[in-house]
Parts: sequence; C-alpha cells; structure tokens
Amino acid sequence: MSFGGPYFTLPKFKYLRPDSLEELLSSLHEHSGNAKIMSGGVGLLAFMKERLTAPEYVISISKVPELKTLQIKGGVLAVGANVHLSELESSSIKNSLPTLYRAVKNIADPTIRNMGTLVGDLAEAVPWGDAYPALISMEAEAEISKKSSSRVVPVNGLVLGLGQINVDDDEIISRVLIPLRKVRGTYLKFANGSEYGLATVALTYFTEEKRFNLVIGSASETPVTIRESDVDWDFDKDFGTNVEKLERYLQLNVNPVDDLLASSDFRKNVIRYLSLQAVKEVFLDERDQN
Amino acid sequence: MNSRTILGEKVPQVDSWLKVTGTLRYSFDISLPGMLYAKLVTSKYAHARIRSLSFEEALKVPGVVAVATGKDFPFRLGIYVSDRDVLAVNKVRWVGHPVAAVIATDMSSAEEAAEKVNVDYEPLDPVLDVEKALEKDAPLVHEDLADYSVFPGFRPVPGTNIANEFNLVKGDVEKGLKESSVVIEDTFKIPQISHAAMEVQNSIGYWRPDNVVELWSSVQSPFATRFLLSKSLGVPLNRVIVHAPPIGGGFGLKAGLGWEALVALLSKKAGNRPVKLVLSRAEQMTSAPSRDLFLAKVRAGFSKEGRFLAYKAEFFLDAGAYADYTVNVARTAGYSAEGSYEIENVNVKSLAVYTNKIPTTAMRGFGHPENHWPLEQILDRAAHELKMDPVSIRAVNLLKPGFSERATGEKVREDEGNPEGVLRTAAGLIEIDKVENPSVPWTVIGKGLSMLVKAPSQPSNAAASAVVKLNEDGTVDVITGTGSMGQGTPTGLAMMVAEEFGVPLESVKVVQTEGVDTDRSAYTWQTVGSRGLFSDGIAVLRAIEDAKGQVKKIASAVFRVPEDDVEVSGGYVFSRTHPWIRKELREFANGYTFSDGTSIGGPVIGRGSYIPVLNTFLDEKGHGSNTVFHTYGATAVEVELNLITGEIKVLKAVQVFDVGKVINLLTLIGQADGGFIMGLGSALFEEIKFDDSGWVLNPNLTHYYVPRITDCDFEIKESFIETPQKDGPLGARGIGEHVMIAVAPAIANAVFNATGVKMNELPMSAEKVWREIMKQKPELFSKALKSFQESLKEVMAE
Repeated sequence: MSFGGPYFTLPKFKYLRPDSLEELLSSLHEHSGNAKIMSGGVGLLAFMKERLTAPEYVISISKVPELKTLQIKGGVLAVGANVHLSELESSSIKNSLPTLYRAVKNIADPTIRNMGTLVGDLAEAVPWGDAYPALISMEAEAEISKKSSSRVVPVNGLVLGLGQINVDDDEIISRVLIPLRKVRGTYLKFANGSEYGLATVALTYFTEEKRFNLVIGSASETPVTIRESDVDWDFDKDFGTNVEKLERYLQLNVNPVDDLLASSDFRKNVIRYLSLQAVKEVFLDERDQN
Repeated sequence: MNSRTILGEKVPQVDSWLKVTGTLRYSFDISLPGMLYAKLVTSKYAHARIRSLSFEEALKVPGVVAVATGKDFPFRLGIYVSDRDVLAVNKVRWVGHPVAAVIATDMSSAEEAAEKVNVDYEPLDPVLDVEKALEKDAPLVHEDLADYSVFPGFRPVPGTNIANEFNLVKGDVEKGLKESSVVIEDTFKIPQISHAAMEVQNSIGYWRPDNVVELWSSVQSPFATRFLLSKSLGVPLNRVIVHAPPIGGGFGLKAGLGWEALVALLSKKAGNRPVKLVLSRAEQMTSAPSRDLFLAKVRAGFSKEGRFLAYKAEFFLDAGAYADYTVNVARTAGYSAEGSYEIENVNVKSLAVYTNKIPTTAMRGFGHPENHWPLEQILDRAAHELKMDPVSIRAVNLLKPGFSERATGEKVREDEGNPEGVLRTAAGLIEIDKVENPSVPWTVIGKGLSMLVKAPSQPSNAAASAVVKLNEDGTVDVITGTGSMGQGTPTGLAMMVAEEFGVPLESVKVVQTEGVDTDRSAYTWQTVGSRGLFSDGIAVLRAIEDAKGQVKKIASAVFRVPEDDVEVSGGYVFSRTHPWIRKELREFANGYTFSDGTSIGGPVIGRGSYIPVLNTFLDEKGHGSNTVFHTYGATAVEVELNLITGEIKVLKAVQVFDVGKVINLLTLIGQADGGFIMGLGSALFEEIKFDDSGWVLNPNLTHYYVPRITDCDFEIKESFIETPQKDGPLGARGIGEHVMIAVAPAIANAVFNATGVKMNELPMSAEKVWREIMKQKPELFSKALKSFQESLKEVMAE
C-alpha cells in the first residue's frame, strides 16, 4: 500500500477561530473527538489532504494570545503552541539550549519553519520527527490544557507511536516547558534521499550534575534514551574507555527497524556514527560550545 | 547603427519578469465558463480483469454530471505503438491505471464521487520484473499486441512482452572480445525516476457543439498533440485546436499525448462542456508515466594500448504498462550506445519490455543517461586494469571528426565538434590529476569525469517552420511553433533575429513566448530532443532571409539600384556601393509609400522552412544516417565520500560543452547548472520504489527526493567551446538534454578512482554506497571506522 492519497482538495470542514484560550478550550470541549487544532497547518493540512484525518472542525489557534508566549520565567523557557519555529531560531536559545536550537534548525526548511510550530512538530507524532527526541533529551515538560484544568507531564512518553499521542480529544498541548540548566548539547540528523532523517541523535549534557541524555530518534517507533548510568559512563575515566562502553551498549541494545528510509543494519551503522559524533562535539570540542 | 553583437551576451529570458511576478498564465490557471472538473478512478491491482463496474452511488453525489468508463471510449492511443487505452476497457495493467472518470461541477464533488465508484476485479498474475517479463510463460501485459497499429521503424513482438527490439551490429564482437587484453563485464541498473516537474499535468478539453475539439493543456509539443488527437478521435487536423501555454517543467513528460484525448471525450460525454483534469502529485507519480527502468548487461574488450575493440551490450528497458516514447528510447539507447567513441566491433540489443508497472515515456536525455551509465564507467575500469589514466584511454578512442564512422555507418563530420577539446578542458578545469587530502581520515576525496554526446532523436522528416513579420514601426514579430518550458528557446531566437536585422532585442517579439496555439503558430515537429534552437533557429534565419529579400526587392525600386546592391542590416536598408542612399527598415515594413502617395510592395512576411538533410531510417542492423547534429560534452566532479556512512558530497563540478556558437550565455550557464543539479538528483537520491504488488511506495516529494538548494553547496564551472556547426543557425547546436547525461557516471568514476569501489546501481544513496563498500572493500570501512574512533580517544582532562 502506498503512502499518499490522490486528493487535490481538502475534506470539508468548519473553521473556527477563537480569540482567547478560554474560548478555544470551550470549543475543543464542545467538539471533542471531531476537532483538530491548527496553527500554521503545515502538518495538519498535509494529513487532511491525504485523508489521514478528516476533522469536522478545524480550530485555529492563531488569534489566541496566551499561546503566543515565548518567555523565560523561573528558570524555564516556555514555548507556546503558536510560537513559530523561526521565532525560536532567532531567539537567544542558540547558546542556552543548543540541543533544541540545532533540532529546530533541522526541521524541514526555512519556509516551513515560518509557519510550523514546535508543539505542532511534537503533536504530529511522526517517528522521524525532530522535536520529540530533542525535547526528551532536555527533559522538557508539556502543559496540557483542557476546559477546566491543565496538567504538566514529561514530554518523554507523550508519543506512543505513529500518530498516537497521549493527549485526549478535548485537550491541547498549550506550552512546552524546557528547564534552563547549565548544559552543553547538540542535535545531529542524517538524512539521505528524504526530508526526514533516517537517524537522529539528541544529546544534552547537564554540566553541573555531570549527567546526560543521549536520545536516538528515527530508529524505531519511539525514541530510545540512553543515560550515562545505562552505559556506566565514568566522567573520571578517559574518554576513550567511555566511548567504547557506549559503542558496546549501542551494539547490544539499539536495534533499529527496516523502513522506507533505511534498512536496519545501515541505520545501526549511522546511529553509531552520529552518537559518537555527538559525544565528540559535546565532550571534546569545548571550544565550539561558547 | 549598433555594430556590437548581442550573441554571446548574458540575456535574461524575455518572460522572466512575467514568471517571477506571477503574471504568466499556465494552463493550470485557466478557467472557462461552464467548465467541469474530472477526477480519475484508478486500479488497485497491477494486473486484473474488470468483472464489473458500478457508479449509481457516485451519480447521486450533488454536482456530479456524468461518470465515464472505458466502454465509452474504446479507442487506442499511442505515439509509436497504440498500446494505450483512454480508460481501461477489459483489464487493468498497473496500479494506478485509470478505469473511470467522474465529471462534476467542482473538484470536491468529483473527488467525493470518485470514491463511490465500485469496481469488481478478478486479479491476474502480474509481471513486475523486466527479466521475468521476457521468460517464456510470463503473463502477457498486452495479449492483443498483434492488433495494435505500429509506426514504421518499430518492432513489437506479439505473443511476448516485447514492445520494441532494436539491434546494432558492426563487425564481429566475439572476435573482438577474444582479441582483447582486458575484458570488463558487468550488470548495471537504473530505477524508474519521476520527471518531478513543478507543474503537474493538467488539461482542459472542450468538444465544442460545432464539433471542433479545443484543448488547453500543459504540453511541450502542441502540433504532436494535435496530430495524435486528430488520428485517435477521427477529427480533421484543422478542427482540432491545441493551446499550449508555457509549462512549468516538461522534461519529456509532456512531450506527446497526455490526457488530452480523455478530457476531449469527457467534454463530449458531459454535453459539450469544457472539462478540466488536474492531477495531484500522487496521481502524477502513479497514473502518469515515469522514466524507464534500465538494466544493462555488458561486455567490453580493450587492447593493451587501451583501444576499445569490442562492446557487446544487452539493454532491457522496463517500459511499464504502456510504452509511449520508450520504444524509441530503447532504440535510441541502442544506436547511440557507443557514445563519444569509435569502437571496432559492436553488438547491441536494446529491448523495450512491458511490465505491470507505471507506464513510461520520454525524459530529458532520451536513453543517454541510461546508456552512458555503463559505458563511461567501463572506460575508467579498463583504464585502471591497463594502468592508464581515464583521460588517456578516452583520448585514444574518441571519435575523430572528419575521419570516424559510427557503428550505424554514419560519418562523423569535421564540423561535428571537438570532443578532444571538450575532454581536455574538463580534465583541466577539475585538475583531475591533483587529488586533495581529505579533511578527516574517514573520508576520501575523489575526482571523476565522463564524456557525453547526443543528437536529437527524431524522425528523418522532423520539420520546422517560421514566419517573420515586420510591423509598421520597425519592430519584428516572429512566429514559430516551439514551446516554452524554461529552456529559453524563444529568447535565443529573438536574439538571432535582433542580430540579423540589427535591431535592439526589445524590438523583437517571439509571439510564442507566451504560448503556442496550433491555429496561430508555425509548425514544428516537437519541442524535444534539444532540437529547438537548431531546427526552429534555421527556419527563423531562413524566414529572415526571405523577409530581407522582399525588402530588397522593394528597396531596389525605391533606390533605383539592382537588388543585389541592397543591404539590410543595423535597422537600415541601404545601397552597398552608395551607402549614403539609405532609409530606415520600418519604411519598408508595409510596402513603400512614395511622397506623392503611390505605394509599391506590401507587408513584408518572411517565411522559412526546415527539414533534416539526408536523414534515413535505420535498417535491421541499425545502419543508416539519422542525426542532424551532435553536441559533445563532459561533466567532471570532485567529491568527498564518507567511508563510514557512504554519503557522497559534491565539492566541485565542471560542465563543458561544444555548443558551436554561444547565443545566450546566461541560458547556457543556467542549463549547465540546472542540468547538473537534475543529474545529481538521479545520481544520488531519486528512485521510484515499488512493493511486491506493484504499488508505488513513495508517490510524493517527501520520500521521492529531488535536490534542494541546500544540496547544492558547491561551485560549478561552466565552459563552452565553439566549433561551428556548418549547417547550424549561426553555427549553433542544442544543449537542453546534454547537461544532465554525464553527471551520474562522473560521480561513480570519482568514487571508483578514490576507492576502487564499483557502483553499478543508481541512485548512489548513502546506504547503497555503504553496502558496496562493505561488499567490495570492507577494509576501507573498518580502517575508516577505526580512524574515527581513534579521533575520539584523546584523553579528556576534566
């Protein structure tokens, strides 16, 4: 079966455009199960064109001011659902949140980043997506709101598989919250013959706590997180020994899938390469991390 | 009077402004009163009988006017072999084969109704592999092949899946191979690729109540479209009108007959209302043609001095469910298999074969990207075995203009070009002997080059014509038949006219810049094959001569001098021997009026015609003389190969072509650069992927990857050699296809020269390259990985 419907038009839908968060959540509650959220629509409209989804209501968040916020407060960067990726690119996160910054730079292309959002990329729940592994590695949280309440959960675990996200029909991810800790980080993506990466690696090293999250995306349905404890990484030992441990761990525990983008053995080879590149960048090339 | 020539200048194409401001209208933009929309219902099986088809539910959808099926239009179409139906009649031959069309007042209703058409299929065994299709008991894609009409020169074989067989024989290839010191033998493969034109196919058909059939369509060659429509619908030529606006990319996809017969017939069915069909990208990639899959089994023999003694090749072109131009692509790949070289003994068999996959058609290069893929790599491999360098082995074997003969028996004229000049220029520009050290030890830098040569692949009577009209103010209108798909032919023709009349470029209008209309354009065979500037250029120059002759006749009476004393140039008409006797050209545009009011002559209408000279058919051994010019070229590259990931990155590219005469330097540079990038796509990324039921897995531009600007972070050096073509317009030759032919083999040769790894299959994706490294030179991988790991093992002081 092929991916891609032959459609030229969108399925019929009613378009709602609330101008406050309250009104938005009310609408969502009312049309729960029959509605989808839209900001730039670069994900949603493509899925609708393919008839992978055909919601009765499309609720735009473009006029909801509360979702436009991009701010640092209390040691946390809050990224509202309607913050476009290009805004993130031009913000100060380049130095403070390098993993996120580099992941954002790797999403699609500059034109799409003007329309697309970080929350949208996350909510698409495509296994080859860039936002999810980066946010996991930075231990981000998601604020999920509905009509009468909201909850904050770790981003890690939010996506269960292709198109499956742990958000109810009457809820939206209103903000992503990324703690600002002293970090070094990077995001590497190996794409060849597709827009999507066949292997992606997000590495965040919390320098004061001496621990890291190495997250491998695109290898399987959900990302794989490797912590320093998983590989018995000893910061007091020489780098070479640690790298060997990481390689052994990858060899034994990370078994990527075969799919349209790559075969599993090639993927495994690239994952090793990217993971080693990532640790090299973060731990050895200190000069480049200013 | 302007004595400076415009030729060789960088002139922006005359429709650039219209394009970038969104003013230019494509057929996609056209809407007509009362127009309806069509949507295709397509097959879900690669091979099946249609048991029944019902559409009552579809008719109930509001806005639906009619549903058409194959039984409504039992005609057969085909440019060379009539193997194509308008809509499937009794059986479907590929996944995506249109079986019905819904006609509705709007696109949404049409799409909704299309889902409500029910088809009951009886699946048949499909044949999905080109070699399996040739086996004795293979399922037949076209059981009725014997009943199809066939254009002379093509030989389908009824009772088999062979759409065409072409043979080229010269000398005794087995003897040649026996005498060879080195024999290179291998199998090469190129998958199907998509033209990926930005503008999808779209057509509006209008079967008028007066039985004139009018089309607006995104087509390259409206006269060919008109002819094929006339033939298949049984309507006289002058009652078929094809409007061909400029198109958003053709590349061969839109060369002949696309969906025009279907929409014309749908229009009739819908009560003589215009019907528009627009394909979605997915439909473009599953229901419309792609380029052939190419399989080549070759054996090549060389003497110890590097002389190319023998070339034995079998080409299998997977033509899909209907062959369209591919029967000719197979023929062309066959007769030009030797490329730029004189080979003593040749035996090439080239087959176009039907399978139950998407149909195929012409694509830029027409069999040459295919046949150059094995040929140019064989030379580098032979050089390696003989301890020669890639430039020397080519120099030994290059065709010698004025002396050589091709395997077809065609003599290589002295003015055909300078292949050795092209070769050495390319080698020099890429500095092929100087290979840099890589920046890191797990990558390697390689350089490679490939020659190319191509002639237009066209019938021996592929004609062109042109009309040149002088307006009362001295401006000039040029009427041609050649289409606009970004290749800039109208601009080139305008430059020639400006040059020849000595008027500013702005004074010249090529009317067909904004579209070709068969009723209002001069005939040309087709806008294909890199023939436009050459064929239509010759016609235009003849039209100019004719116009000048008319002016001279009138001027002779006005000046009272003999006709052969009159000169027309620089915007003036004057006596050559008495140059102070002169008047502006515009005074003669509409005849000449004397001071007392008497007038002589009349409107100046120059007329020019062209037909290929001394071209013949090719016989059963492939012998004959069937070309009008050859353009030689070379592509050279410097690449960086990551030995761990297999990723190839182009660092530098060189494009060299012997164009005869540089008309528009800007267009030439654009073609050289754009062609390189298009070639890069099929070299590294592009591949239509199928599953084992014949479904296309990647009918979208997300997973069918076409190069983006971010993939083009390298410099391209262009060089144009001018060995004038004696019978070319101002000495010029065509270039449209040549620019992408040699890219893939040049890159493969770079990889081979750097590593010894042979890449037989395209695309050279990272995974494919990695696998070949692991298979052929695993030590390169392990060494690279080790050096990468070593680079990490620096002791880190915390």
